[in-house]
Amino acid sequence: MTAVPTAETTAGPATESAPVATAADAVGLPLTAAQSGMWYAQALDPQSPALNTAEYLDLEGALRPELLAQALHRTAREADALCVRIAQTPDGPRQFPLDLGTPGSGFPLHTADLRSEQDPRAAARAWMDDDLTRPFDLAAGPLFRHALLRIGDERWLWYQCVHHIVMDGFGYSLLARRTAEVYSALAARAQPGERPFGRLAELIADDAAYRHGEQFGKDRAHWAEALAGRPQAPSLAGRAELPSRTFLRRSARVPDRTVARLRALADELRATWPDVLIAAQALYVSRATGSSDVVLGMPMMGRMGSVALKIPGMVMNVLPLRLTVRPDTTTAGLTRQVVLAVRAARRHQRYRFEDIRRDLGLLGEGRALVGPLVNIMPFDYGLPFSGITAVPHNLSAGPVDDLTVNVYDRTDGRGLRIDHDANPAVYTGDELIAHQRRFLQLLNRIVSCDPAAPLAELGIATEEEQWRVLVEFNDTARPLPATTLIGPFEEQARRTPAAPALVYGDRTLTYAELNAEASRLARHLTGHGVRPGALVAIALPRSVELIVALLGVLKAGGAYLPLDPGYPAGRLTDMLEDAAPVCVVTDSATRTQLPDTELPYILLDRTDLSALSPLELPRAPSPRHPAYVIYTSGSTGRPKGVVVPHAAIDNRLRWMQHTYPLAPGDRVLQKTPSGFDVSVWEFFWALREGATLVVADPDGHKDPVYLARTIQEQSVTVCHFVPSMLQVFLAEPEAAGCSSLRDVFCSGEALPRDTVRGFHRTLPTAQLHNLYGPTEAAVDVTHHTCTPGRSGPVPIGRPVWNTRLYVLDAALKPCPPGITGELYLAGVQLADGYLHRPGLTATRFVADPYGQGGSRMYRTGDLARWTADGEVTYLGRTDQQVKLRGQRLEPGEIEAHLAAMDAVTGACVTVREDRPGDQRLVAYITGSPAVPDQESLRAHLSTVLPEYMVPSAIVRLDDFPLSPNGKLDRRALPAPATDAKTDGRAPCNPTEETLTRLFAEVLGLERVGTEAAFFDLGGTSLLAARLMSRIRDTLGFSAPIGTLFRAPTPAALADRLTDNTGTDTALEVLLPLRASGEGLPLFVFHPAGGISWCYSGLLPRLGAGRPVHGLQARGLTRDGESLPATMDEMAADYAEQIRTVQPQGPYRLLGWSVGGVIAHTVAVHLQQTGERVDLLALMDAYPSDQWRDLAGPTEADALGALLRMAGFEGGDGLTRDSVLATLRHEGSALAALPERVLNAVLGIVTNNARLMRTHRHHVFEGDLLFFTAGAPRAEDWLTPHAWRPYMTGRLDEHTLDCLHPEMTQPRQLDTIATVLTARLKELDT
Amino acid sequence: MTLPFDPTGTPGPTHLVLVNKAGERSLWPVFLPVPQGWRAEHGPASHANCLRTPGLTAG
Amino acid sequence: MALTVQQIRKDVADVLGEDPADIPDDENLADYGLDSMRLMSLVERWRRDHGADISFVDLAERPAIEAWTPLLGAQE
Repeated sequence: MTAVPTAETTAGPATESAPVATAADAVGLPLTAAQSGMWYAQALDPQSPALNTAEYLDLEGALRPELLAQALHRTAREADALCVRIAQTPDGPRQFPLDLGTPGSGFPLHTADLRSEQDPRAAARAWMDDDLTRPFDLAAGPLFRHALLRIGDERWLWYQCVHHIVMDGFGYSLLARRTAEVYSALAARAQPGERPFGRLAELIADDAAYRHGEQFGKDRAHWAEALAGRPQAPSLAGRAELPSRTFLRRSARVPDRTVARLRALADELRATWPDVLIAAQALYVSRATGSSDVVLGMPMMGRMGSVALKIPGMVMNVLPLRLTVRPDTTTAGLTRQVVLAVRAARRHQRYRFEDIRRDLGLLGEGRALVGPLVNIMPFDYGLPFSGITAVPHNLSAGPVDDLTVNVYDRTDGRGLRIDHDANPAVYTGDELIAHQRRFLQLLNRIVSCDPAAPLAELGIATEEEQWRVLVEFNDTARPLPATTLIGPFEEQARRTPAAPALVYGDRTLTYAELNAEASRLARHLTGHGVRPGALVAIALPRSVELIVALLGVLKAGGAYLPLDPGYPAGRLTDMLEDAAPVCVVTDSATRTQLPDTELPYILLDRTDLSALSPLELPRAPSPRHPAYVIYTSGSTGRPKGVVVPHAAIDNRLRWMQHTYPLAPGDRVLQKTPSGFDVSVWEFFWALREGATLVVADPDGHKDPVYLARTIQEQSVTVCHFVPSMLQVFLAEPEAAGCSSLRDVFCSGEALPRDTVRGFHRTLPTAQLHNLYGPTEAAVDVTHHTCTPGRSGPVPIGRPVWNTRLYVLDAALKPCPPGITGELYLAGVQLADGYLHRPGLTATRFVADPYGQGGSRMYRTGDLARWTADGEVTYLGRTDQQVKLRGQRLEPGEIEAHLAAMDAVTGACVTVREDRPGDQRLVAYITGSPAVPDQESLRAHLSTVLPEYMVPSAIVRLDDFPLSPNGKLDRRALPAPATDAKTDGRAPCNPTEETLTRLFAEVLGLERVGTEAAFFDLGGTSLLAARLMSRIRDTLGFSAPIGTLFRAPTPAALADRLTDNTGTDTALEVLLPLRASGEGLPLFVFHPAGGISWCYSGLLPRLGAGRPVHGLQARGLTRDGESLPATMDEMAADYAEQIRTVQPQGPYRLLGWSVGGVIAHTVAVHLQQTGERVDLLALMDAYPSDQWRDLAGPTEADALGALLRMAGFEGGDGLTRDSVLATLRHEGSALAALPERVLNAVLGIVTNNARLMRTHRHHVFEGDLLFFTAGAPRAEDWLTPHAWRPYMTGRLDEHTLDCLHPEMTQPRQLDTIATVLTARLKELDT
Repeated sequence: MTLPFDPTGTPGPTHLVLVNKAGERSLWPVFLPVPQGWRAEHGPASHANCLRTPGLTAG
Repeated sequence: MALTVQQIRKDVADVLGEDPADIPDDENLADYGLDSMRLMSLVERWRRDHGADISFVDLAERPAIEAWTPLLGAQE
């Protein structure tokens, strides 16, 4: 490393370039709005180097480093925005001028000669990369640093790193240019010319003038209107995070040919090339996020026509560009949109990005305003370095929230360079590479195609990706014999006539018997006109007869239509009228539940088939004929029938047999109602393969105990569950005994990972398979076998035989793996369509652009994406269709019925999950005063809708909430009336409870719920800082504001602050109420109920810095933990716990009620082991001899103790329910305790009462600080002087005007804490 | 997502009715080329008018 | 090759999508949609094709053809 030589004296008088120190310098200058934005960005994570911007210039030539050093120094002094430090003052952050020193003596210039390194350039690069990670000290400054690294005899790298708060990209180019000018002048021994820069003060004044001027209001109004009603900002990754400390960068050069075409196209469209490039990015983003309303971010330098043109500083702003990209948009049209949007943005570009965000209520994490940024940087780098060529390279362009596309046109023949910068918290390196590769291919396609053609012709997947998702992942072709649903059953019956086919209760039928019964029925049915193509309705409960009926209909060649007799008559009539079957097969009991129609009803129990031949019929259906018709919910009010042909379901069953082979010993459980298509494989799979079908009782499918018993008794090997039902089943203790199960199938709903874990724990020898498919595609089209130990969403898997899956974007182009699109299905399993609904069929079963000529595909309406290895993951719906506990329903159907009622003017139905795991169907209506009440409405709906489709609540609204573009805003629909005081569930540990109170305090609200987000309630950055400060003082947790952004609700914040230990530690024996702090801790002991949360009110009152630990009773967290037999045993246990926190005395102890007695006992124990106890404080606690003669506690007493622990008075007639209700109402954390814990508490109360009565006190050597509950009470003999025999020191009594249970209420704690604080202070000194 | 098979909300001819050799019909957006094996039977017309064509009305 | 005023007018009109005759020499070109991108492209063009020694800031300070003429060393 060479020392920088001292500067040569320049000719002529020194030009005035340093600011004159003024009195004003002492108070500094305010920050501009642009700088404030950067200040708060840094405050989110003060140690983060993410706001360091840096570049280096590659200098080639006979550089004179000492001159460059001078030039740097002089230029820096001329740019007074650069020479500041920025510190917090009572008036907010301000900037103060800084003395820079000179090169070699304080000026931040590092020089190094790396020529002797093995790879000098690499060494230089490594040094620069490392320097970039060192944060600046804003309060100390300077906020920039230079380096001059020699890597060759005539090769230097000039590096500069500047904090973004003082400089932006344009500023860099001004500085570079001036440095070059000064250098050249010095090299020519000439005067560098006057300082060209304006002053920082001018920037500040100009900024202030703008903010107080008229244009400010106009600009604000412009942005409010431009961004009204915009959707969530698009993130290619689907989520938003705060910027990380580092960023990922992927660089690419746009091929020359593409650049040439790009410029030519721009000319043709009367635009600039950045306009076209932005259009390409907008197209990419719209397809990658599935949104036609795209908001990109465009950094703008803000210098034209401004005093800032000649001031290097931080001026730039990011403006939102809102564009609409539809499949029928053209390149020309989109580019024109960009031109106009950029023009409009320019006119209002002074309005800060941070202000726009705040105006739109988007502060806080997860609320991005814009998607990816497109940063065009053609800064003027034609540098007049005499005799030196200088090539600039950017190292860091600033923090990256999500994704920034930086585009450099360095105007030196090197073409266009693109850096994709990404936030590593959001993107992996591979994802970033993929995005860039796709973008470049897309850009090339756009500039090569006809600008008047719809953009729908372009997809964003690369060619390789297209092949992968269309061909490789769908390689499922498999030739199959052309059989039907019924054919293989008949063949099987011929092969194994004596094998058991069907078991129902204690009846068993062999294959031969079943086949014969079904054949007889089939003959009877043909007499009623059943033939291939005819439809037969079947309305039977689960039974042998049901199976016979299904087989009989199929044998006759007809298709069956299952009717659930539990449906209301109105619905059944609709279905029968719509379907027009040739007859209805039922029995006399069920017949009474069916509506009367003109159709023939065949009552199986009244029909004698014995005279008919049991031989199979000669005429069979063909694979093209329909096999069954199943009705599903229709969005316009009437259910629709899906017609599934034999070929489709046969493919499905053959695939199933191949993949999960059934053998003759297998036993499949039939439990799914016949109206759901899952039942189809339950009915027929086993019977085609010689296995046995075990038919459950008609209502058995809802009872987990019955199911478990049946599975065990019948040795069932295969069965199906809807995931929510599986969860219920696994919770049933008997489920673990179902070891006969080998394959369990789930379908109908998303399968939660948690349920999978539960399954592998409970049934470790069985396999769990996740299947997916709509009724419109023969039950299931994808499969995935769950492996234990995995995490993340459970995929729906790969396609089955002869089936193709497409994930397509809005232009029906294939989405690459990882990008979300709509799922389309193709192949042999597609249904024919909807019965009698050609129009609807044509809109759902559409032409397949990727299949063989003339083939169709079905649009599922499900959102999905491919994983990298060829599985599909389900991601939700594109429409309002929902699954409620596995059952599909269209809210539109329910809405149609509501809206059809008199006096109802509007209806909207949605599924709400206000409490996690608790899904409810809720309806909202508007109407005249004549609208009937909720119960009447529900009663009416029950006559036309199946039970699961009747909303659990119907809420009356005056008007529906609308979003700014006039559409219904579902997110704004209110939760049905519950306890309004809690916005979310009750707090479940003392940290959460304390946080809810602190939130309320800082926000000036009466109460805040656990799930209420800070910024939603009106929190600002300033209040956020105050909250974190209160949290530090009260709970001892120190965290930067950034944590609040990541976890903005009390529940989330509690989790994060306690490292997710939450409720579990809250019930441990040692409870860290406040673990941090400098002073000696205070140990507090539980009252009768065993829980020490009641002391959390002391935390804010005792002042920061003093740790507080609670001792809690054994038995709260672990079942079967034995309770102490004596109080001495308890004391020894607690003393040991205390020593784990504080190994040596002096100890400070406090206890209320029973806790006081325990404290005394622990104090004695500690003294007996040689430790010092210098504070023993009791809150209204009396020695055991005062209690010995009283009766033992009843449950009511125990419940009373529970209430008192929470700070409430008991009263008479306490029951468990009334106590819980009181606790919930008051938002007490104790209300959320699980049943098990509440039981434990009651046991603990009883045990403690016993221990109290049997204990003999020893003597405590020391003073006693005592707080008496002085209000009149029944037990008037209690006095602190009862402790006299058991203490040697002074009794210091403070009387409070309250009752015993009220001692932990705020007013009393104020007094107690004051006294304690004073005493502790005395002891500390 | 904007859905190519749903009404667009803008007036004018936005869809076609396609038919294949088997007589199956499909709604189709005008901005996409007609897939192989299908031909345009009706349109361009509005979404609603497409659904009113004889092949698509319930009979 | 040295720049002429006609060439300047033509290049400016080109980049703004206007007819050269429609742009008065004293007009503030920012009002015609001259933004930093377009200005930078002019700077590049004039440096590359005519060897002009000007900077972005030089031209941005007063964006009008008549102000630029002397800076670019152009003759009528």
